Amino acid sequence: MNKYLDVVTTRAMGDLKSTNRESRLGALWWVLDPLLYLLVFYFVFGVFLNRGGDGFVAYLLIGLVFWRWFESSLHQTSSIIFTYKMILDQVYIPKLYLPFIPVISNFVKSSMIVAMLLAYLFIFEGAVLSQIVWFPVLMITQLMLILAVGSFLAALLPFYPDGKNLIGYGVNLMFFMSAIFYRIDDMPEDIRYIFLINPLAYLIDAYRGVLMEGQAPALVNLVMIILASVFVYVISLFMLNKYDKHYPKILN
Amino acid sequence: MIMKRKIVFTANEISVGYKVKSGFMRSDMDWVFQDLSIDLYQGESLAIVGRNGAGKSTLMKVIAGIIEQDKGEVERSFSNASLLSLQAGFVMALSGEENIYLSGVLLGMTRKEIKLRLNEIIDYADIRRSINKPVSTYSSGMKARLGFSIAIFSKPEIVLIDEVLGVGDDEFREKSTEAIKDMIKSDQTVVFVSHNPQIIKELCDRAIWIENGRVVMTSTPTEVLKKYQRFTMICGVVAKNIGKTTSDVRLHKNNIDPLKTIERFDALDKKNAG
Repeated sequence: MNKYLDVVTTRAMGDLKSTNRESRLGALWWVLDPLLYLLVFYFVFGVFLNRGGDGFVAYLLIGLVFWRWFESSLHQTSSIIFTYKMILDQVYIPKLYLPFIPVISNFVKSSMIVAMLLAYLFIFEGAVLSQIVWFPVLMITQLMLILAVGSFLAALLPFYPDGKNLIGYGVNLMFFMSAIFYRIDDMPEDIRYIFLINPLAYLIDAYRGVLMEGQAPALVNLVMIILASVFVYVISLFMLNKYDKHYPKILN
Repeated sequence: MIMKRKIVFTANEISVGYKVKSGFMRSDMDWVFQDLSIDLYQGESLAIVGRNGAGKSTLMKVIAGIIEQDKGEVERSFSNASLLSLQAGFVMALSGEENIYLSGVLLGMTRKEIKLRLNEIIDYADIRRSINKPVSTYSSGMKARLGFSIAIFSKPEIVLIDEVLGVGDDEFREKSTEAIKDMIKSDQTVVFVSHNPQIIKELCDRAIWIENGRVVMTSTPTEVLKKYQRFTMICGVVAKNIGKTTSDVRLHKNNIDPLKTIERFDALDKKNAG
């Protein structure tokens, strides 16, 4: 048990350390990378299309930061068994530990970006503190969602390698359906229910409510997301466990 | 002999196969070996002999617990077996030292244990001067040395060696062979896959020959290699005479039992001589 804890933390640390190690600016890219990402969207939607008006920059940034955390985590976690293919061919590692590696490294990376975002919001956008206790709750919920969906796809994809191609499209679709660069209120009323069944749209909306309006998130949805995540994660554990020694065979 | 020793691994009539697509949504089993039985004793060094594709590496993976057999029973009384030399675990952008940790944990060491053995690993691999440089700058010999060194110091209960004795420069090859000999002298259980008869004879105290997914014979390395080489020679000659490949001849139904084939040809030789 302790042994595998060391595997997870050491490999996650290796992920973090190796990011940008080979580039000239090195660790500076940790800040530059998300900054440029945010600038692109800010330029397109904030300046070029001149959407939203007051408070739109904060609105956009919150959406993008938490979306990016979800997207990059999901991308790496879903393919983790493929990433470890060579290693799994030579040593036995219980597969259920593998998803934790990218989930942790992406959490650490994203936390730094979130810290930058919070600093910006408090200094320049007059963020509200009254409901801030909900903020860590939302982050933990998102972390659970990432672990659940990521592990589920990780367990499933080795059986359907073609699915890897589909995930990119699915994630793209989700990006456009998560009300990141537009407001749910601007959408026609009869299609708004779509945003209610998308857990990420809810979470992003809740982050905005907590940070910018001092509004507590809707509990029912929050509990639903947590329960659904636990349910999906339990299924993933069951699969990863059942096919533990089968994965190295089908990856050939 | 070794027969009185404790058995650490037993495979009882195991079969391992891979699913092969045989059409849309349909697949057949392609058996690597079938109904194979094998015992592994505490402290012995066992060589697995057989042609390419005979299932040696697959058998190693079953012993290590990396994959599971599709049929049959397996019993093992160890928790940690690893294939020596694990370069797959290296992260190229990171330093030699960082990679000792990255590979070490995969081989079953805790961070604490690695820290204690760090200097030994570095010195054994003889990469002290480059230890803080990224592994991407290492020569293939250096990488092989580092991988071997980490594996040696991870002290697995069972060491599985798959043709690793050709790594590094001459000096290190000697050193690694020496290390393996030391392991064999101690109570280390070793399973070898090698095509080098000299090394097998020198290092192993038992050999098992696998052909067509079955165990042909189990005996001393000298005995097994004698028969194995005789069979290989026979198949080579026959292949030449009838214009087929050696593998075709080896897999032919007349040669399902290589020992019978050898007997047949021995008798033929005697008749021709007499």
